[in-house]
Amino acid sequence: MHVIMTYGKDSFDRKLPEDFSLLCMLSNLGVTSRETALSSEEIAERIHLQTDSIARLITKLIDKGLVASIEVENIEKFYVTLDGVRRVLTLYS
Amino acid sequence: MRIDMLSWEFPPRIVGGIARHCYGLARSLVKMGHEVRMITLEFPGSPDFEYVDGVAVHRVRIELGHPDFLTWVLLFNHFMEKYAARLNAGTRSDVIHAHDWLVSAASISMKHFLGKPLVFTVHSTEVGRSRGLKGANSYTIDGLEWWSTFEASRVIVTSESMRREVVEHFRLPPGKVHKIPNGVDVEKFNLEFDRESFRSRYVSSGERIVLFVGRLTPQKGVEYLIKALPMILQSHPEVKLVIVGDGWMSDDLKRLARSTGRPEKIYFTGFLPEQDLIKTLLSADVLVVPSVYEPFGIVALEGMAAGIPVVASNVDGLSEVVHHGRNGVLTYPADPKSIAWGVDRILSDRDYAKRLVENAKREVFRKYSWDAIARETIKVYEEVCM
Repeated sequence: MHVIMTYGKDSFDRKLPEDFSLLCMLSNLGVTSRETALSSEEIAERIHLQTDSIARLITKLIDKGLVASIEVENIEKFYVTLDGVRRVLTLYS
Repeated sequence: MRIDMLSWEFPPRIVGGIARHCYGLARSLVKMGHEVRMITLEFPGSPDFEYVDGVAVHRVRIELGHPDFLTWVLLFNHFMEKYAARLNAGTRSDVIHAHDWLVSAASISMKHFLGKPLVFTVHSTEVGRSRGLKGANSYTIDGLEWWSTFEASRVIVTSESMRREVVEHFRLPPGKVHKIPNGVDVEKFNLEFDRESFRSRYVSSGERIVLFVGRLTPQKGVEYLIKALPMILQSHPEVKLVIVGDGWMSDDLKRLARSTGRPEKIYFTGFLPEQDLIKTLLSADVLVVPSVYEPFGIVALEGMAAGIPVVASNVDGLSEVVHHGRNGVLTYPADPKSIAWGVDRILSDRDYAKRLVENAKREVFRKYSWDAIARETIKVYEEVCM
């Protein structure tokens, strides 16, 4: 499986970082609050990417403060932070 | 007059210049006695509805998302359209004013179900942003832009270069396209604060600030400014480059900064809240706008209003705002040597810099106040409502 890379490149034809592509997709899915947070498995289902790839990219995004995690009924879920939403918006003009 | 304005960005949801444009224009229209309903998108932490300086701001919830960008855009247009239908079931608007293709579908539907005229502002074009049309999404976005200019009774652009671009590319009758520039709120730069203390956030005593403000994306050309820094430091070792903004290129640019061998001379602030941004502009010694594509370049106007000398690329709308040797310095785009030359020109000659700043301030007050821009926009509304 691989990501359907709708965010593969920016308008200047430059390749976007993989973690940023995932961030854009999460934001467009509306995963931007604790209430709408999703687990890695749920994210994998919705964007057609393997769970281990999701985990690797999510870790990078958490390190950058662009994604946060919460625990809901013993399941770790993730959502895009305000800084993450701002970062996504910089793609457009 | 009652105006329904549609934009996918409105403060605090700020993507580029459109949010600031819509805020400045809507606020001045309200001051002139008109009613503005701003229909925009939700943003974390912002209320669904509020009045902002008299502007009724409606933030539409996106009830269903999708990872694909274009699908997501068409979905949120549906929710905007649904919201606008409910809003107009009460009191109907006289005119619909849409900003850019991202709200094309909703605004065109509104035009037809309300039977009211549509005014469409093109802030930039896909063909310009992408340097040509590249792939399926690009062609669809271009199609949406054309469709909006076709459906609109009048098209507004912010610069002569954009007028030429839309008239030629979309084959529009020139009389349908009106140039009304972006504006700047000059009053917000009348701020009392301890400048030296604020500067110490970024520089030590005796250092001078070369400032960049913008999205960290290829379009903004910040990589060329970073590459110019070692050349600038040869003649001005007291300079420090302060980069304000965020973007997907952030990590790449930090790597590039390290590769200059002088990373201690480059400070990345990340996103700044409005008040800190104003103070940073007021504290800088020179503002560089190194964009490689810029339909207008509102940040250059802000620098001029803040009273700092501006060095800008000689591209598109920027070269209509910044006039070389009169109110700023123009440099070749994507050319670090030229940028270094422009910065040196400012830092080496205080009298020259002072003269540019005085001229720039005068022009900003005369040509780019939001009230003047709102008056021009009302003329367009009146024409289409006749």
